[in-house]
Amino acid sequence: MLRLCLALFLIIPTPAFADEITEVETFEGGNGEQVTDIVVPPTENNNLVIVENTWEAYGGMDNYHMSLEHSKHGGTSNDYEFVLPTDHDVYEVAFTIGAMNNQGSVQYTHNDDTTQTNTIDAQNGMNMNTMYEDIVYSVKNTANKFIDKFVITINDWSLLDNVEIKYEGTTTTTLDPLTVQRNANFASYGILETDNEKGIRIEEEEIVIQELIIIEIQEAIEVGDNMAITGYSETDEERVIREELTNVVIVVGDEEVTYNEKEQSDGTIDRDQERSINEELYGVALTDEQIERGDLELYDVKIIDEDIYEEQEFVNDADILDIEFIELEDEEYIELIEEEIKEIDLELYEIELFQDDIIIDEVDWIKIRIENDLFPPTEEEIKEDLIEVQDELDETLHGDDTKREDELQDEEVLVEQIQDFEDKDTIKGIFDTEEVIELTEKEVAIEVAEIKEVIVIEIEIATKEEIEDFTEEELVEYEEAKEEAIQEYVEDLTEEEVVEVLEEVNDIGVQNLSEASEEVQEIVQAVVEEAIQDVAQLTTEQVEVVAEVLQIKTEDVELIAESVKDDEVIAEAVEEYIERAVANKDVENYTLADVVTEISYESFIENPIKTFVDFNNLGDITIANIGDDMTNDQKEKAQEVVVPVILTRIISMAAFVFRRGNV
Amino acid sequence: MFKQLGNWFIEAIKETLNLSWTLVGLVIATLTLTGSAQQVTGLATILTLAIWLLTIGFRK
Repeated sequence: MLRLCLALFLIIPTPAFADEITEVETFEGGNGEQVTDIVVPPTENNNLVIVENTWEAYGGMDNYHMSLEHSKHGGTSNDYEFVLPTDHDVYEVAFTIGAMNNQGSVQYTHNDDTTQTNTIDAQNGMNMNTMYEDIVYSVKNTANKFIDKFVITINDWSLLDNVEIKYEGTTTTTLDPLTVQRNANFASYGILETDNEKGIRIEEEEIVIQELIIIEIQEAIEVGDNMAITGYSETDEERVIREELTNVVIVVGDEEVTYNEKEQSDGTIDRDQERSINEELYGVALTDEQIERGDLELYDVKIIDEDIYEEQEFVNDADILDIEFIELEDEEYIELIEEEIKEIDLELYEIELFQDDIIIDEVDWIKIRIENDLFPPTEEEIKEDLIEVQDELDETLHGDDTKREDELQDEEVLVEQIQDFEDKDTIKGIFDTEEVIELTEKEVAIEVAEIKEVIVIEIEIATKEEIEDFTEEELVEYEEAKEEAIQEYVEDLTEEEVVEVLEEVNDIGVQNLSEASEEVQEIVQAVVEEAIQDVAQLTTEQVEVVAEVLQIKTEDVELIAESVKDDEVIAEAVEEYIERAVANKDVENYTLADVVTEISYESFIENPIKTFVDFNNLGDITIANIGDDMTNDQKEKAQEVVVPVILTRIISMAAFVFRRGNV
Repeated sequence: MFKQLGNWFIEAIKETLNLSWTLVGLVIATLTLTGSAQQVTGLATILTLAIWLLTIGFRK
């Protein structure tokens, strides 16, 4: 109701205070058309009245104007009547008249039928710009007197423009309907808007609400899906944030795989690693459990039994020999008389006679054996028995069985054999033998995976395809960044962690590191260098591990560490040991000494003179300590090479001298 | 004098070539050794070669 009343109030025009209204006839309604309702002299069929813009150059004329007494100069005068609008009470009239050479007059007729005649002076002698006059006639100060019309009387061609009338008018205020709506709506619910705008606003609000509903539904779906996948009630955005903090990146095979929290705890990592290993071994990505239940058959893959290591249970000897242990109870004892015992070939039955079971006092076994020619044994029998025993000892003690003696061996010999056994049973002994424990492919893959577990480093590794697409600069940057990351990782390792990595390397063998990725090899190399640098801080056991990696003796590790500081060749050999060992994986017994020799050879090729004249602390060398700074491994290698060369030279010299002597 | 020097130089080259196999053996020995042993061997090789070449005339 309030809105209705307000609208009606605003729509109904309300009188306002009276204003002075001015209307000006300018003939600018287009082609000289009028713009007011002042009745002007007719122009149709009237040669004396023309509306034109020909003489706008004259002062007072603005574009279109009226031409009175057109082309007439002098003669009889003519009247030109201008009737003012009757719906107005005009109290003032004005017009501009120009180019009037002869005097004229104007008569104003009032509403009370009275008139007023005024003279219009001639304008001859003036220049064109000033040849005009603004005529104004007003009765405003006369109460209730208004002007109805005026008549201009002239006999000379004149120009007229800007006929102006003034009257008092009542202005009405009519509000815009849209404004009415806005005001009504504002009064209703406080928003200044039209009904149309309200409709648009409501539509937009509904769209926004629909979008919010859709978003909520999507979030609910995300939360439900993530709950099933991750176990957390979270949106996708929240999941990304959480996983950034909890995810881990592990290298499986040659790829980096990201595992979330749930996958870390449900065994996915182990299964993926098993798949990777088995894919390398059998060409099929299956877990160990799947292989055990026989899924390989589905892919036509057969496992050779030799590759499988199975723990075998110790077989009970009784099952093999099928011996029946007869527990003799008292009543089962068979009492043999002496005659019966004599007839028994005890050896044939291999009966062990327990003193508890048999009444010894009544049996003279020695006598029995003598009478049966079983005792005493002949010399030949004694020798045969001793030989058998010796052979058995040789087999069990791994001694030198090529040496046979008729007499019993002295204790010293036995002691030596025992010592040899002890040596060969230690780590030192193992390295002394030519036999190398070879791992199967599966065992190598398992050991490689264990190394990767020990080495936990966050490093960006590019795939082969990405590396191929790198420019030279990008490749250099990538390599430098990788090297820097490796150095930082290694420097942060404790001695225990360094040794842990080296122990894993020993398990697999340095030359089997070819199965690991290039990055793992680089890391292992850096760890080896770190171990050599920090050898003084390592325990004896840890030094042994380092020695095993470098395939040198334990006491030579410190030697190497000292030599690294002074000798560039040895320092470079330590830096490149892993890389060269992997490259020469097919070379048996490839050790640090081989690397040193290779680098010496390369430096000799590069600069032969420097190799021979590179003296370092020459004054400290004496005959007694020559070679003390060489490792045993290096000495052995030198012997292997130098001795044959020297012998060959001696033989060739001898042959040469012999030939010359015979000539 | 220059002629003598030239003759000596030619003789030195001949002797070095005669010693090729020996030098190969010594170079190999030097490369397989490290540390003080390598230095001593290298020094001995150079000095011996130098003395050998310088005493060509004396030994003839």
